[in-house]
Amino acid sequence: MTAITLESIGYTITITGLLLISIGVYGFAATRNLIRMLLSLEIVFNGVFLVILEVITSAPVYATILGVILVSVVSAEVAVVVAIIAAYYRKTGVLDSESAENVEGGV
Amino acid sequence: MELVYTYLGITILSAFILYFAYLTVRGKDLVYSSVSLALTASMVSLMVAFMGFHLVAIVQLLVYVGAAVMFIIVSVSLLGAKETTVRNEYLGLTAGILTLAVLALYLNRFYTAFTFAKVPSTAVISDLLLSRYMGVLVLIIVALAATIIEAISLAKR
Repeated sequence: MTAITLESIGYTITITGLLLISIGVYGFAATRNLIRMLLSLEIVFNGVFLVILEVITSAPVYATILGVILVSVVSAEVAVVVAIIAAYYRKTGVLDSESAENVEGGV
Repeated sequence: MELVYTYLGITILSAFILYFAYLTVRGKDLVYSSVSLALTASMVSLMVAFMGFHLVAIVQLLVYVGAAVMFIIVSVSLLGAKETTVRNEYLGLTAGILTLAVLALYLNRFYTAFTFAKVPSTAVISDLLLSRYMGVLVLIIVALAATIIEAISLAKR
């Protein structure tokens, strides 16, 4: 039986992060629904978050501050994107990203 | 023995995270997909806590799950929009697999040995944020305040 080491824990976390990123990219590329695209991007963020924190565990103070900044910036991004999508949906009645090209004057 | 239990916990957590992430991108209803995102993010914060970053885990749970993802859930519920667009599975799978391959190759170059993070106490981190990293704290506060104003003005249009 293979002994469990810290390295195997690290690999598990990294692989989870990488799989999360690829699931998010898959979801983003496979759909044209704006909300689904936003949700997929959030999955990518969660994957990136895991990988970054796992890679810089040797510098815990920097990792903590970077983590707090990342969470704050992504929360801000979510608020703006959801507001834009809501305004766009009220104006057009659809959530298709391709039809957004035809909207004049912005949202 | 403790390492074995930690490894087991992290593996089970990983399986749940990936399952809920899959539900987020493939769920039939947008509201349920948003709820799956909340569950994914909650479990990611649990994994971050497992790694030793307790403060980051708490901030993620409170700010990201408690505010940002809940904002998505409430907005999607109130909009009541249905998903009617066609999916392009081939494009999605190609993009996902390519991303995984490129990132795995790239990450392999600077992978360092994993250790559980020994983060100083919250008081020390707070002290650092209020002295050495004051600029970062101000940037976060300004960005969040600007975002709130922007979101309110967009929503009122």
